[in-house]
Amino acid sequence: MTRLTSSRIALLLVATLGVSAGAQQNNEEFARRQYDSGLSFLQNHRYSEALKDLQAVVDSFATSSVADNALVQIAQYQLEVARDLEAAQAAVDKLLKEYPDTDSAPMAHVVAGRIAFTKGHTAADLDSALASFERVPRLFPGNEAVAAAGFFAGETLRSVRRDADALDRYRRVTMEYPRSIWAARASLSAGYCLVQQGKPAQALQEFQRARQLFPGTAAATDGLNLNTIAYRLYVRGQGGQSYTFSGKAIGPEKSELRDATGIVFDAAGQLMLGHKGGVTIFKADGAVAQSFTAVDATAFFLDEQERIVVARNGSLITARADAITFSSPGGDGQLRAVDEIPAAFANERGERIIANPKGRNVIRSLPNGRFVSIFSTGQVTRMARNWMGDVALLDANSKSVAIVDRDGKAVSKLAAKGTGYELDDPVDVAFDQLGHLYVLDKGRASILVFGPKNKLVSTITIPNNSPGALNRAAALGIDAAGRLYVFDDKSRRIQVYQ
Amino acid sequence: MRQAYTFLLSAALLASSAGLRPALAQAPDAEIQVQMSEARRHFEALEYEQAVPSLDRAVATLQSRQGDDTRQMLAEALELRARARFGLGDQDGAKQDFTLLLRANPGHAMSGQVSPRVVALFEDAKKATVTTMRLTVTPANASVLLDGRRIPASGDVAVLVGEHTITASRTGFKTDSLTFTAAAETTAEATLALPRTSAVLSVVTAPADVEVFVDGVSKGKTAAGPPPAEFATKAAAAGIPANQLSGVLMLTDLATGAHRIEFRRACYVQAEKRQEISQLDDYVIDPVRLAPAVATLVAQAPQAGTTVFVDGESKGAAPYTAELCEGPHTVELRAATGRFLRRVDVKAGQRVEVGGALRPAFALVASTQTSLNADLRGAIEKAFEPLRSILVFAPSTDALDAALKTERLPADWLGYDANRRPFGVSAEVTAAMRRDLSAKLAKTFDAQGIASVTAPVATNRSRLVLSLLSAGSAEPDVIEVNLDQQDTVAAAVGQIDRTLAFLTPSVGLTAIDVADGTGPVVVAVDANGPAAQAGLGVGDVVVSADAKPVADAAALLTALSAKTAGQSFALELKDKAGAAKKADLKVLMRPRLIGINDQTLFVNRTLVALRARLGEAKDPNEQASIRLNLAAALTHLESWSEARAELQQVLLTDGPGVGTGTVQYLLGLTSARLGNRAEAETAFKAAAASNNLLTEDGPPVKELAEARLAELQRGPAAR
Repeated sequence: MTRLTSSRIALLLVATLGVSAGAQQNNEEFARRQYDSGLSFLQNHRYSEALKDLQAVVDSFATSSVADNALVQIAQYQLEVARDLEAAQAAVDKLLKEYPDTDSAPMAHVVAGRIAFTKGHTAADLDSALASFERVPRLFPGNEAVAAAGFFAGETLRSVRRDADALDRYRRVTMEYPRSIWAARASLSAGYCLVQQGKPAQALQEFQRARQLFPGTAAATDGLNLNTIAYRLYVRGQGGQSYTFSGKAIGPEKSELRDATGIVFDAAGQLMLGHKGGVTIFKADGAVAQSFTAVDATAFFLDEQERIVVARNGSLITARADAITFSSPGGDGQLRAVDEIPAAFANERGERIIANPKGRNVIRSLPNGRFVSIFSTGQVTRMARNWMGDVALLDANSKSVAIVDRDGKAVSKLAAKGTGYELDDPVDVAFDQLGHLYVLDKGRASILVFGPKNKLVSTITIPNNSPGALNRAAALGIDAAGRLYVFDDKSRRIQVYQ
Repeated sequence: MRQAYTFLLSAALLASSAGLRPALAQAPDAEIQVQMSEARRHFEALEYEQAVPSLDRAVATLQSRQGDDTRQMLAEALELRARARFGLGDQDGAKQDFTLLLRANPGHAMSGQVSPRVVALFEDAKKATVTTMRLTVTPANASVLLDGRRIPASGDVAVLVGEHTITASRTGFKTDSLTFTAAAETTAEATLALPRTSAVLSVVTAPADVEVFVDGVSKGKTAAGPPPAEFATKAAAAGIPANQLSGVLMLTDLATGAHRIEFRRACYVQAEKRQEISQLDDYVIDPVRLAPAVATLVAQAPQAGTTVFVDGESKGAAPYTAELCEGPHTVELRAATGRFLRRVDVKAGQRVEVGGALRPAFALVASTQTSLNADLRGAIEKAFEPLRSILVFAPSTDALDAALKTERLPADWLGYDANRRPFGVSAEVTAAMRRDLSAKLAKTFDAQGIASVTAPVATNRSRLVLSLLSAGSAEPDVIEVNLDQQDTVAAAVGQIDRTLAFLTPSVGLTAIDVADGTGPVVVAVDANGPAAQAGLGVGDVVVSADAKPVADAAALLTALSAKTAGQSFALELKDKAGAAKKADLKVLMRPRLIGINDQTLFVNRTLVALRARLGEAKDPNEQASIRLNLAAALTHLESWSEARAELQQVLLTDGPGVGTGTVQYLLGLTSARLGNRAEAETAFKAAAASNNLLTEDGPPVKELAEARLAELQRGPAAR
């Protein structure tokens, strides 16, 4: 047996420490690389690969300097993309428990607030969300996430129609963090609130500020779009026509398209026209990009995964899947099959909201066809949703539009006749990004635009026999910049108004 | 027992011994002088009876004292008393006095005309009291003490009869001593030969005060001269003025072999000699002359009232030209609003020109303590050297330690993490204390603010947080950098240096971008502004500015941003109907205001910049705008009184955007905070009646003021 002298022990210790420090450095470097790889996959929407990388950082390099960053990315992905609130909450909880004082902790509190409010919109949910947001400036007063917390507090308040309170939060963000990207987003939302408060002139300056703060970003594009909408309705529309026919039509001449069932823009901004023969997708230049055939289709929408779902014969058909039938309770409480679906959509919970005019109701069902509840009542023929989840239900029979919240609770109603207007033959409804409701009235060959408190803001009328006349209009869609896309049954093309 | 010793004159030791003498001497005081004078007068007048009592008093006094002068005077007094007693017929008394006299000074000799009988009596006393010692000491220049008194190293010496001790010493030799008994009427012989213990090297330098190193080890400094004559002769031969020569420095403990002798003195070129020591002996190096090592410093300041400091010492007003010793120096230009600092390492003969814009300065007065003893303050000063808007500098450690000691503060008393949270012990420093200390320490270091550097992450000391506090501020600007990542430093410098403009050109219109158009669309026109006067209206689309196409609102702003007050701005537009129109607009300058709650603003940096610029601004509009922004910065830092004082001096011309309503709103805020409810209410009402904005792009002060008025009505003043 060899005895180690103290100097030998010291040498071994130094060597061991050296190896250990070196290994630690390698681990840190590898963790960083894996984290960067995860971020890269996230940016390219390759989510499963991104999750693998990020989770590996959390599991294998828990002591690295990017473990907390990986957790916050996972939480945001689960909340925003996968919409798996439990997984998002788990990531947040782990981050706040194991890395409570790291750079990522403030953003974890922000995500926690967003999760709380996404779970539900009750007063308790609201309180819980706001409390999470308020923790950020208290615990991390100089952190950039304070701006994010302020912005999301504003968004939360805006979602429950507390526009004045929301505006106050947005202004704090723009005043306290004027050079933050959150300030740009806050300016956009502040502009929205100002429009709701009847101050469109101020709103225009907010939108322009967002545009100028971060040129070339999504916020700048949004600022341009919102400016355009507000400008048309509140500047150009004062003493003149807010919209005119652009002269542009989408779709082939001598088209076979007929009996439009709706116009929808997907997340990428692609224009989709639903019609009796299925769904046609158009390129930006107006040429047909792709067509989906569905004979005698009556409606279509995009589900939570952006897949086209077509309604036909009282059932919903998702690409390459079986038709799902739905049922609705009759007067006697017994469920009866829905035999005609003129409008439907998928809500944020993944449920199907289906218009059932023959049953004089709108039902809420699971994707597998299982009935959940009556969402609303009326002979609804078209529906539209705004960013808050509010739904406009067009009742062609009563020529009115009911506006309900995401749970079907009545918010307001647009009667067939009101101050400055009278609906004759409304055929479609749509919301723009500023919350204005557009009603396509074929009978009056007009599009009526209603603003906050359902006040008529503008009426777009194109005389019969004039280019772009609306007397044969059948469907209405609005893009991000507020351009109106109207399917004309006569030309069988989509006419663009701006 | 006799011992043989070698002899060598030790001029240095003798010189130093001579130098000591006056210090040890104790001059007789006036009273003794009077007594002696009186005694001499009586003695010379042959009034011996009166002379003796006077001499008794003088002798009694002198015997109680020590020192060579006293001894001489005592000898004189005893001689006089002996002769007076002799004159009175008291021969015994006279002989006793002569004996006492000889004990005091064995070498005493009678002087002047003295009676042969008295001389005979003195000689009798001498025979019984004093004898002669013949002394031989080697080396001859050894220092010799007889019973503790210095005596010459050789020759005959008068000594008292009895036992004596001789001690001899000399550098490079072993000290030795000898005790012997001197018998009356016999010449005693004393011989001491000191054994050599080391070689001795004697050096003389010009000038003095040169530190001498032997083989890299300091052996002391040469003292002021003059040296012994032999050195002066050699120096003269070498052309070295004698008055520059030092005394001799004797270097000992030199082993045999070659030695490197270095001569160093600040401000002089270092010299070096080689000396071979072959045996234990005395060696002498010819006088070593050091050449001055100086550079020429030329310091110039761009503004009046600037003082030049070199190594923290004031050198007077700029421009300043002087010689600067070779080596590292800190040259500063200081004025009330800022300083310029340059650390230089000058070489002999160099001409160093120092000058540049003075910037508000922040003294680094706190740093995290690290076990590695890293100079974080120095690292931060260097990292932030490229800053153009401010100067971050590290005062010397000694000066800082002294300042912190005065305030009884630890080195890390101020520190923040990247989230602007107090770090470590600084969490115990209250805002009021910080406010007070930032003012005091900034004044101590003649700076406009103070700074700290914190390493909040124990495992990564490269991640540093710089905090800035303007004088009197309690809330810091905080920025994090990673010294290992140069891009983070560059980004931080860019952020701090962000340009601040307090006036912006305007033609009184607001334009936005819309997707439908091909140019910016006018959506608002200021009443009575240049655009309104030129007939521009809402809905007009701007096509070109100064004959250049304008694609969007940003391009329009860019074209306008280059303009100054009164310049022309030519626009081509299309109205709503598409008809072309032209307008030649005169540019106005409108105030801009920093955000009073802007958390991304380096408000401390902004505050010091504003204070500096206020003094420079000549245009009343610019002055008003700077003062308004100064008030906003002070509001941001919750210095309410100062903010209010500035606001009360702001005189803005009325107009849209930032205007009098903005001033009133800020005045309302400060008044409310100071508890002046009535003034706050009046100010808020005035603000609520205006169409002004809080900053150039909103929000309207009307809405903010109305909210504050409502708050005032609800309860106590709040921000």
